[in-house]
Amino acid sequence: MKCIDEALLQKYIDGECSGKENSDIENHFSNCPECKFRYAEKLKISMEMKQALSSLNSGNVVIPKFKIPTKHSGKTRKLFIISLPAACIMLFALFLSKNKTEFTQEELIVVESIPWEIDANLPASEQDFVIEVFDEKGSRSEYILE
Amino acid sequence: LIKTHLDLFEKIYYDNYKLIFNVVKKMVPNDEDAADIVQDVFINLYQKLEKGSTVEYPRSWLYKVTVNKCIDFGKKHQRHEKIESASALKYDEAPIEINEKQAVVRLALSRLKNSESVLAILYGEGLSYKEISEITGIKFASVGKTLSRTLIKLENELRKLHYEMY
Repeated sequence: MKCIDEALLQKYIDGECSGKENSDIENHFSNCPECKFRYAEKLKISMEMKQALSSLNSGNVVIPKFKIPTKHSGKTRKLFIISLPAACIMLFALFLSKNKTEFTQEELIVVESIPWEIDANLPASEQDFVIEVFDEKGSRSEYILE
Repeated sequence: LIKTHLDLFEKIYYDNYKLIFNVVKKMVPNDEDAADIVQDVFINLYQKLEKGSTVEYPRSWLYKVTVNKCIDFGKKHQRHEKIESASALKYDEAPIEINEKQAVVRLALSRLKNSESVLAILYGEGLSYKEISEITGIKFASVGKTLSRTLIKLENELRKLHYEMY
């Protein structure tokens, strides 16, 4: 038998060889100190790497109780996230409209219309200024600047 | 029918939780992240069973899903990880000597390709070549060769790190 390749050596170490392969390899070892040495080296690496990897294991893993996923938990939550601000907006709108019925005018709306040319050199009292005021009931009062 | 599914699931859950957690911990050092990933893996299994699908080899299936989730997590947190690995010593609650040793192993693993570190980790779990082949997709006939190379590579990285550190 020719010398054992790396893959077969690895298989031998990991107990993945067939009965025939095992006996062939063992026979070969008795005639080939070089392969036996390679085997020892590989075995050492394999063991050391296994050990290094298992050093990452946590000794005390606590198994949490499994929370059964509820089918619609995601959906209802999404619905809630959307509906909450929507409800807020509606409440706000309701609040505004309710206020509107008790509306009292607090600001003055000024509509200017100047149907003639103004002589900017004259004082305001010599211009024909008329101020018309409409109150909330629609009645009109007129003020003339003097 | 539902009850038997649930019983089956519970058995798989309690039998495999530690196993899966320790696999995740090798790729994701933070305990909370690891626990989240494990939970996610089992939720996947639960939903699969709930739908009535059968899982022929639950352990292999769990390993496969776990490995994929960990790789995804790694990709998402890559920039993160690099900074953390440098200061990995402060990371866990365990005493410093253990921590330092763990950090070195983690760093060595992170220097391998994803597929290689997964292979090494699964080997470390004592899985058979058949299971490794099923989980990783490496051809059954090539597991020995790939494994041999990967272990040598890992050993090299570990030696380099020891040399750098001490």
